[in-house]
Amino acid sequence: MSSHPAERLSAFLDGELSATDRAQVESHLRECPACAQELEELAAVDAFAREVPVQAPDGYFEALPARVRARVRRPARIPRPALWAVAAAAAVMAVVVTPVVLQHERSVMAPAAQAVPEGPAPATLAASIAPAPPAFAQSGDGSAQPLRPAKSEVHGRLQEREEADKPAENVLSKKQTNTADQAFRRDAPAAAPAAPPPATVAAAATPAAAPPVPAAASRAAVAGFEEARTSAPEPKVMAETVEAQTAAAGERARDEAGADARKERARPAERKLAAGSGAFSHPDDRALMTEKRYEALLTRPATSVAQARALRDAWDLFAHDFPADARADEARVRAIEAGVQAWTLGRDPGDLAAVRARGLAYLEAENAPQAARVRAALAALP
Amino acid sequence: MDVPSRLDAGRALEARAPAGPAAPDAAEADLLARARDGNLFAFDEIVKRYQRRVYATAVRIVRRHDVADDVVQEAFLRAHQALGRFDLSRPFGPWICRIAANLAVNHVRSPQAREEALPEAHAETPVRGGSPLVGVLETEARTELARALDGLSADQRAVFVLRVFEELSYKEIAEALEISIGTVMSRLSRARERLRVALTPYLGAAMARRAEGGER
Repeated sequence: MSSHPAERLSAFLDGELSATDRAQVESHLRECPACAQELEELAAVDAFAREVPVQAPDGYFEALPARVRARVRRPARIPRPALWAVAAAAAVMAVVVTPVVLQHERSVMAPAAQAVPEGPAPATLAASIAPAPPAFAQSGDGSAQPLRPAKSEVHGRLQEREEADKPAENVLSKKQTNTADQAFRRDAPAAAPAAPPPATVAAAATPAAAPPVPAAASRAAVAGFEEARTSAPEPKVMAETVEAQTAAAGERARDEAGADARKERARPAERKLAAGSGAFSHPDDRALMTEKRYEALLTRPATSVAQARALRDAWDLFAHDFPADARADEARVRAIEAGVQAWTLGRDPGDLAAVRARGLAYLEAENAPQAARVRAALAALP
Repeated sequence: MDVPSRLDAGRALEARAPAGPAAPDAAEADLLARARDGNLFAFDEIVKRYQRRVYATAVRIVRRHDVADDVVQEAFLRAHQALGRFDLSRPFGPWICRIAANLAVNHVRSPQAREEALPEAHAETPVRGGSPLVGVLETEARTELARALDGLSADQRAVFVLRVFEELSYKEIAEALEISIGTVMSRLSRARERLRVALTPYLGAAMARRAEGGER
């Protein structure tokens, strides 16, 4: 009898031995019941180990995707719209700095704009432009080039939105005297209505007699931007912000029921906003609003059926509101993807029908640049 | 998890293809492509599909939930970062499990991990499953298995997990853990031998039951 194969039994079990070795082991096994028995036991060890289930704490797998998402870095592809937003924001900043020019135009704008008191206090203005946390005000050197305050203005607002997101319930319950500000904050928890409501922007632009942008606000805004700059090269500013938002969104998604409730609450506001968008006559304002809305939708979570449906409808609304925008097509496609997500999560026949209808409508359109992507999304459906 | 009979001697002779799940479906490739392009929903879906499997791989190696949780998150993050280099025609599951196994082993090797106490509770919980062992015997056997697994080194567990649960080939395991095929072979052999010795009293009963009951 050849020597006991001992170590080789395991590899034999896995079919990982060379032909020669295998033949040797086989021949040995025929003569040696002890080794044959051992082989069987080794196989039984595997089988037994496989039968023992692994268990994680309750709710672990429900929360994990959002936790992972909160940490995932968005690839650098996103900055394209971000750069665009920066340009738009720069234009808006110009509006703020030279309010006199635009005052005239504003007076024929949205009713909301007219409702704003004629000369908002500088403090209000500061808050609406750059509600930067104290930490921001201390960082940065404030020696900005003309473009920077504009970028930081976007940053500041997104920061505000994030802040408003966290203690959402508190913010909602707080009585605020400034209705414009309140309107903005109320929208914030939705993460969807990206644009400031007409009143806020109008307020920023209105005060012909107001001093130039309050120095503190401007510095804070610049500081906010500087901080963002330190962590990322310039074109990534928005990406970084979006990431931070994503993180916040991920945290929010934990409390799905709460998030859904907020979303539902926010929906009317969103629609109102969209409807009000026509009131913007200045292309720069409109561009900024479009951009913010788009960015917010990009990062909005859809981890529950209700969220996915809301997102689907929000993208639809975006495409409907800005049919000529370069991103309208992306919005249509994302509406379809969110629709697929809604169906995947809920398996509701209504969602299935809805997403099919959207998909087919998209594919039948004359101009369907992303037909392949839509087909792929639809392929996931039964 | 499928439980084919490992006692079929003939099966041992088959040159098994690296198993795991079948080739990825088109939907998965599409999800991965979209995730690579920055679509967070798509990546979310990927996480949902694989989180249990990745967690199982991690916790079987590190033997602690909190550490496994770190490993799982890190594995998904790394996978996300590396999606650009990932060949979409290949199955995602084995790939991410390899990443997780590597992270798990590295964690256990880290000085920080050495200072941490041994797991207070075993990852495997003695719940009723479709095991051929029943009642007390089964509970005992599972406890014994958990103890035996604790007794293995993380390196041995990693090899064992990738082979037995992920059904990777020795070559794949060697690549994943950056060790030689010979090392894979010897670690696996030693791991199985230790488990076999620890479980012998129960394996006899299990095998007898299998012999009586035939194929499951």
